Amino acid sequence: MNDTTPFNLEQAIAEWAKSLRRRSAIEDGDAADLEGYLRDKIDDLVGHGAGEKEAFERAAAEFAAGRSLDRDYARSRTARGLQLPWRLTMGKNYLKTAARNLYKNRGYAFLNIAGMTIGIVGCFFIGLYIQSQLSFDKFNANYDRICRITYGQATTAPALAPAMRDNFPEIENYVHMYDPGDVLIRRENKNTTFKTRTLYASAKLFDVFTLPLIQGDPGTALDKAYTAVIDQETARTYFTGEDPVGQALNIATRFGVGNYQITGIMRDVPRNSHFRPHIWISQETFNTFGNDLKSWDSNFIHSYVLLKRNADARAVEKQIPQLIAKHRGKAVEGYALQPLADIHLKSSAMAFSIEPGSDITYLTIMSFAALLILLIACANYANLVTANSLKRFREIGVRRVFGAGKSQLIGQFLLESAAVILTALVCSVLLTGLLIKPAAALFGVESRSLLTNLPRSLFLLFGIGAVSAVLAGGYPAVYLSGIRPADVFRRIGAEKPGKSLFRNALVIVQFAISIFLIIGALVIGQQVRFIRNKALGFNREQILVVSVSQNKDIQGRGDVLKTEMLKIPGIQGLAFSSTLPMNLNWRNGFNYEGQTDEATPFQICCCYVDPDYCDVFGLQVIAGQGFSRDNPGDAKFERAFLINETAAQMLRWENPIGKRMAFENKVGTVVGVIKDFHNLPLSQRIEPVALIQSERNRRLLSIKVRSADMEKTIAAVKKVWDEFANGWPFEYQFMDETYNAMYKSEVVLGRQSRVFSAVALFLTCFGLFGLVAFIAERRTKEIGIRKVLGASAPEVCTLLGRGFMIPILVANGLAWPIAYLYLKNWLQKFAYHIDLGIGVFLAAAVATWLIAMITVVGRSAKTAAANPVDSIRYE
Amino acid sequence: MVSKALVAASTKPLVLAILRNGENYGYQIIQSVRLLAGGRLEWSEPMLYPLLKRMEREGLIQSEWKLNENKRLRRYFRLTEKGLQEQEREAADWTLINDLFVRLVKTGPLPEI
Repeated sequence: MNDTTPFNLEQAIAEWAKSLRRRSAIEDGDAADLEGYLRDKIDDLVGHGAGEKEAFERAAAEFAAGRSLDRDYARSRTARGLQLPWRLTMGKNYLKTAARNLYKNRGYAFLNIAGMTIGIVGCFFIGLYIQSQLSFDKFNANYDRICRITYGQATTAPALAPAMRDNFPEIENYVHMYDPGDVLIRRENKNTTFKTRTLYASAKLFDVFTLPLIQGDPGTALDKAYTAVIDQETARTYFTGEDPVGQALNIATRFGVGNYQITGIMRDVPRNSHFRPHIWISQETFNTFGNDLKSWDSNFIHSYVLLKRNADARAVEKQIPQLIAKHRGKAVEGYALQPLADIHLKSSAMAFSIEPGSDITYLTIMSFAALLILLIACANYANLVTANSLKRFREIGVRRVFGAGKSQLIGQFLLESAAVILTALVCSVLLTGLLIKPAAALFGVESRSLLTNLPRSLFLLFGIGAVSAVLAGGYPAVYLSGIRPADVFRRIGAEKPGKSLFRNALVIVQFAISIFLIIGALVIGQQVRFIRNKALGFNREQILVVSVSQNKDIQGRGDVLKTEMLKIPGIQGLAFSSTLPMNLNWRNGFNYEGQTDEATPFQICCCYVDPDYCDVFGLQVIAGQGFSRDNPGDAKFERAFLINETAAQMLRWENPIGKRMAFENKVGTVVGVIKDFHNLPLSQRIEPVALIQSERNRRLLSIKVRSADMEKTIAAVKKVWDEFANGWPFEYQFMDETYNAMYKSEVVLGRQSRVFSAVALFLTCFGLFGLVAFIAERRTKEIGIRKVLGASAPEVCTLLGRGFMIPILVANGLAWPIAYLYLKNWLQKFAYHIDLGIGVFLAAAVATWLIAMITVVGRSAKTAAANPVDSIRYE
Repeated sequence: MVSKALVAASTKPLVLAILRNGENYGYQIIQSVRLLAGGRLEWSEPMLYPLLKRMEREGLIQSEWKLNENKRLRRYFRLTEKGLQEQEREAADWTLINDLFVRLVKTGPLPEI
C-alpha cells in the first residue's frame, strides 16, 4: 500500500473482519462480537489522542497475539451437559421446518422425492441381482474348501479325483457328477415327463455338499446301483400323499432303462446353486452301463474335491501334472482347481458346465450402471435444492444472527435431506414390490431369486439410502450453511457466478452419464444383431433339432427311421450327430501323420456325425469328398474324418487327403477337407475341427424342412417318430432358437442397457425440468417485460433453453471418449465384432439433445404462455 | 504479573462479580478489571469472549444487542438468576481461600493437630 494513500478506518476494519471470518472456529455471531470490541477499543484509543491508524493497529495487535482464539471458541461450544437436550429440541425444530418447507414447495418436493425414488429403486434392483449372483453356492458349509477340477473345460477324466484323494494329503474327499442329458421318468404310467434335471453322483455327495435330506441316510443313500434321491418337488409330483422312500421310479437315460429305489428325499436345491437337479442317481448305476470310471483318457465327468482346512489349492494344482505322469507315463499341464464360489460367474468360456452360468464382467458393468443412476438422482436433488435456496436465504440469515453455527446448519440440512430420502425409501419399498416381476424378467431370473435374504436386502436398501443422503444432501448442506446474514440483505435474487457453474457442472455430468449409457445400449444392440445375422458357414434356418439322447430304439433303427421320414414331402434332409456345428467344442487329443512330438497330441474339436451331416448343414467340402455309405466299416469303426481348413493349416498338411490320424486308440484317414465354419461362439476364434463318421453317439437328429406347411410336416415327423421311439417323447427346437439362446447373456445385457439408459435419461430430464422451472420462476419479471416488448412464445422458450445448449455439447465431449474406450474394450471380448463407427455417437448426441429440448420447451411453454401482466404484478 | 493459571481460574468469578453490579459489555469489562487491578491484571479480548460465550451456554449470563452512543450495535451481558447463585457460591469459595491465606501469612506456626 502506498504511504501517501489516506488511511480508511472502515475499510481496514472490514478487511480485518473478513480475515477473522476465515478462521474455521469463528462464527458470524462471534465475529460480530469481536468487531464490536475492536471498535470500542479504537474509540477509546482515539478518545485518548491516538490517530485512527495507530488506534486500529494497536487494537488489532491484541488479536494477532491470540493464537488460542480458535481453540477457546471451539471449547466454548462443547460445554458439558448441554449437548443432548439442546440437540433434541433443535432436532424437533429442524424436522418441523423441513416438513413446512416440503409442503410449501410441493412441486419441487415431489420432483425430488420421485427422482430419488427412481434412482434408489434402480440401484436397489441392480444391487439385489448382484447380491443374488455373488451368493451362488455359498449356502454350502464347506464352500470355501470345495474346488472343481478343470482342464480348459468343466469335465475331466474320472480317474483323476480318486487318485488325488489317495495321493495328496491336502484332499479330504471328492465327488463325481455326470449329466446324462435328457431322461424319461415314469411311474406306473401315471406321469411321464421328459427333461427332469437329473445328475449322477458318487456316494460322498452329501458329505461334501450341503444338501440336507429330509428323509434317508446321507451316508448311504447313493451307495448302491439303481438308487436315487429325489427332491420335494419330484416327491409331490410322483408320490402325492405317499411316502416315496423305499418305492421305485422308472427312469430311462441314454444308457438304459431301470427301476430306481428311492433312498432319500432332499430339500429342493436352492436357486443359487450352479447345479439344480431334481433327482440324484447313484454313480454305481453308471458303472453297470459299462462306463469306465477308472479311465484316464476320456474327459467326461465333473469332479469336485474337498480340501482340508487351510490347504493351499494352488500348491495342489502344481502337483497334478506329476500325478498324471505317474499313471499315464507323461505329465500333462493345463489342470486347475476352480473354487466353488467362482464357478457360476467365471465359467462362461468353459465347455460342458452343468448349467449355464453368468459372467462377472456383466456384474461389474451393472454395478457401474447402478452407481451412475444413483449419482444422477443425487445430482438432481443437489441441483434442485441449491437452485431453490434463494427462498431460504431469509430463514438462514435469521438463524445465523441468532447464533446458529455452521455445523448446526449443516446438520439441519442433512436432516432435511434424510427426511426426503426416508420418504423416498418408503416409496421405494412400495415400488419395488410392484416392479419385482418385470425387474426379474429384465435380469433373466425368477423374482424369488432376487429376494432370497430379506434382512440382507433391507440392509442394502438402507445402505443405498444412507449413501444417497450423504451424496445428495452433502453439497446443498455445505452450500446453504455458508450463507451469511449479510447476503440476505445484499443481493437477493442474484447468484454468485461460481454457484451456477457448479450447477451446470452437475447437469453436464448427468447428461454425460446418459449419453454414455445410450451409446452403450446402441453398440451392444448392434453387436447382438451382428451375432444373430452373421454368416456362420453353415445353415441354421428351417432346421428342427430333435433330442434322441442315444435312445436305443432310435439308435438301432436310425437309418430306417431316416428313410421313412424322407418320404414326408416337407423334409429336405436328416442327419444324426453328437452335437450341432455351432457348439462343436468337445476337444480331444489326436496323434497324426508327420507328428514330430509324440508326447503332445494335437487338440481338435470333434463330433460324431452320419454321412448326411454336411448336406443338412450346408458344410462345403473343398477337397477330397464327403462321407459316403459305400464303406459301412467307416462308420462302424470310426475311421473316416473330415477336417476343416484351420486343422489342415495347423497340421501343416498341404494335401490332407489320405493322411492318418488317431484318437482313443482308433486310427482313421482324412477323406476330405471342409470350408471353415464358426464351430464356437463368436467370442472365440474358429478352431481346428474333425468330423468323425460314426453310427454311435446319436444324441441329436437334425431335420431340414421346407418353410411351406411347417405344421403339417412336423405332425408327420412326429407320427413316424412315435412308431420308432417306443414312448420316447418327441421334443424339438428350431436350430436358430438354440443359436440365439447361446447369446442369451448378450441379449439380456442389450435389454438391460436399453432400460438403464432410458432410466438415466429420464432422471436427467426430470432434473432438467425442475431446473427450467426454477429459472423460469426467477426470471418471471424479465420474461413478462420481454413479452410486453413483443417477444413471442418460441423466443421465450429459446431464451430459457439456450442455457443448456453448451452443457449438452460439453457432456458429449466428455462422454464420447470414455464410451469409445470402454466399448472398444468390451468388443475385444468377441473374436468377431462390429466396428465402432461415428454413427452411434452422433445418434446418441442427437437423441439426447432432442429429448432435452422437448423437456425444456415443455416446461417453458407454460411460462411463455403466461400473461405478462400477472408476471410483472407478481414481483 | 499474575500467573497464567491464576488468571485463568479467576476470570469467571471476576466476570460474575462485575456483572452483579449491572449489565456490561466486553470492552468495558476488560477496562474495569484493568483499572481495579491497577494495571497489574490485564485481560485480553481473546480470552474474554469465548468465556462469555461458554457462560451464556451454561445459562449463567444472557446477552442482548443494543445500539450504543455511536448508533452501533453492541452486545450487552447481564446475570441470570442461575448466574447470581453461581456468583454467590464463587464469592464464598474465594473468600474462604483468601481468609485461609491471610491467616497463614500473618500468623505464626500451624495449630497442633
